[in-house]
Amino acid sequence: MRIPEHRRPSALYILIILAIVVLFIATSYQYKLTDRMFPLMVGYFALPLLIMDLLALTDSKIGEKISIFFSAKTPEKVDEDADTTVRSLKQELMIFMWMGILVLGIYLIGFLPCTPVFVYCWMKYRGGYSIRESAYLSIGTIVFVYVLFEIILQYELYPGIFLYWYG
Amino acid sequence: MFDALLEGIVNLGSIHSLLLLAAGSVVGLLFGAIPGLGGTTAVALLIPLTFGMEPWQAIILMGGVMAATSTGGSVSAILLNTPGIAPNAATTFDGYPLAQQGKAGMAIGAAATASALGGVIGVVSLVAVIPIMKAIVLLFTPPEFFMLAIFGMCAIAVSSGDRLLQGLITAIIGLMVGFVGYYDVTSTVRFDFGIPLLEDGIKLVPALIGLFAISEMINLAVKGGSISQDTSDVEISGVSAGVKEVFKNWSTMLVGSGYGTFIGAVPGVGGTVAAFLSYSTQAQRDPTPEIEYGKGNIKGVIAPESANNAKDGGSLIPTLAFGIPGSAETAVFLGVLILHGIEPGQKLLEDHQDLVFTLVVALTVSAVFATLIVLALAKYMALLTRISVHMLIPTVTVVALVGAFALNTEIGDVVIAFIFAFIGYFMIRFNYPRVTFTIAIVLGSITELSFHQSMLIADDQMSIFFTRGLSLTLLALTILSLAFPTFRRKMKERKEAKLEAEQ
Repeated sequence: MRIPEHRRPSALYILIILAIVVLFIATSYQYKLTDRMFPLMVGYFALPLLIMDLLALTDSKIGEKISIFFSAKTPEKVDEDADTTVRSLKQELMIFMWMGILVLGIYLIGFLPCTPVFVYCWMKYRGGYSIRESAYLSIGTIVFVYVLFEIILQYELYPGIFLYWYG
Repeated sequence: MFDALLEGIVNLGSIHSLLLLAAGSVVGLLFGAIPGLGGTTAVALLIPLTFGMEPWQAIILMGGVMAATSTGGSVSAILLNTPGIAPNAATTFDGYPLAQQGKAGMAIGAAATASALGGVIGVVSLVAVIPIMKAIVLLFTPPEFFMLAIFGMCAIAVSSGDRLLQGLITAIIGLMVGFVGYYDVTSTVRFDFGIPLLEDGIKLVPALIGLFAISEMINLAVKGGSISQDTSDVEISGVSAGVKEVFKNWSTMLVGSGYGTFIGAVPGVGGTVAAFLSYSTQAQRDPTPEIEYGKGNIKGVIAPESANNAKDGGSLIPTLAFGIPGSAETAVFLGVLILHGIEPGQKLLEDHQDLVFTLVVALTVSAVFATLIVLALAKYMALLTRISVHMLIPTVTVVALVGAFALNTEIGDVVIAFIFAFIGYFMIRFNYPRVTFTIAIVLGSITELSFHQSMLIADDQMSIFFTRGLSLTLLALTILSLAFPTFRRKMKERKEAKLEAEQ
């Protein structure tokens, strides 16, 4: 019984969920009976489902049976019908990094400086737009955010941790 | 009921309300027309704008969005063979061939008119069942609510097509997310892992914004390219001929609307199934068509478009009566109601009928308004689908994060939106349905509360769920819904075997 290579990312995903569920069940035991009763029921119900999901990825007979039972398809047919979009890990990590930097930037310097910088950099370096086009959209976005949230809706946008530190 | 309807009309009567409705409709049309965005993203993004509004104003804005998205989606389906949202996929079968034959205007006219009439029929059906809904809701006590929540989640998981197992898993993970934070029955903070941000639980709005708006942007960024590859010029004329076609084929529109309303009311089944069923039924009802289906038959546009708009009214029936959303869009809308302190169910139907009717009026007016905009501006809307993803991604992401922050002005909510964006992306990546996850988050607390209340009533005897008529019926429905895919498979196998034997 083995998991074919192209299904291994899905298997890893299931294993991560499985680990979270096990952690959830273990944590549940810290609480009183009333507090843990329903969460435990839910947690224990998840375990067999996740194991079946994992087994359905294998090239075994049981995997095929599970797949047919729950999806009316053989694992091969599931592969055939799956989303064929090519997603390279490098590309995904790059996007996660951009998003991570955006959130970190918001945390450090706040929304107002971060918004135009992010929009400009994305347009220029990921979209390949000219300096002028990138600048127009970044200015447009910050004006929209400022007018809508600060002026019309009167929310005070987060100024960043640096401004909090320096009063 | 008449007073409430009148109040709904009055609520929508001011310039401010009409502007809100128009804004909602325009946003709904745009998000519907641009593939990959959709109504759920639009509703999630607009939530922060409603914080300072009265509940009825928020309902008008959201009603405008919900009624307009599928109308917007039909434009890109017809002109570019790219459905704006999934329910418009069936419209491409005959809409795009019509556009290729130079009859894009007729197809758009028919789609927009069928959408408006379908939307109005769906809403009228909603109004018609409100008195019955009130009577039914009164029959529900905690064990029935518990079983109904379980049924709702299972039915939605089953409707994930061939992803039943994944649907059930995401529903359970959603319930677990719902357990995080303060539990008011026992005044205990659970699963917070010492993180102050989690003490009050996972906040719904930032989670929804991350799950639907930002995750879609990450997905678009990873996939790259432009939304539509079609760069051909769009020629639109003969719109009024399309409008006339709908009235000429009124029975097609009525049957489609009937399908949409009925199927929309079943939790999770949604507009896509309604549109496809309506299309295939129309093809069966018309065995010798003048123009073959799939080659530009106008009835092939009218049937799915009337169905996918009528489902809006239908899907609000379980949402408003029981707090069980009929679709991802209504799940997010339910979040809006909860945010404004409106609890769906008996209380809403009895004490806040004015709000229900405000929604009804907003949906009706928006369905007509969106149609008028489409009829006038279809050509320009099609150009929207050619916007580069690199312009959409940074702007939508930033606005979404600002929105997540604005609810409580807490930077922690931005982090929650960010985390849920990744959860949402991986769900898209590995084909795990986000709708069951969302609905389980929304239903988590009511499910556990109903469970505990039932246990209190029954002295901790689980038999309470199996000894009451309605509760037992709901349990039977849950089992039947879970057995449905197997039943469907067996039927298909039998049919194939029969065909083989005949050959």
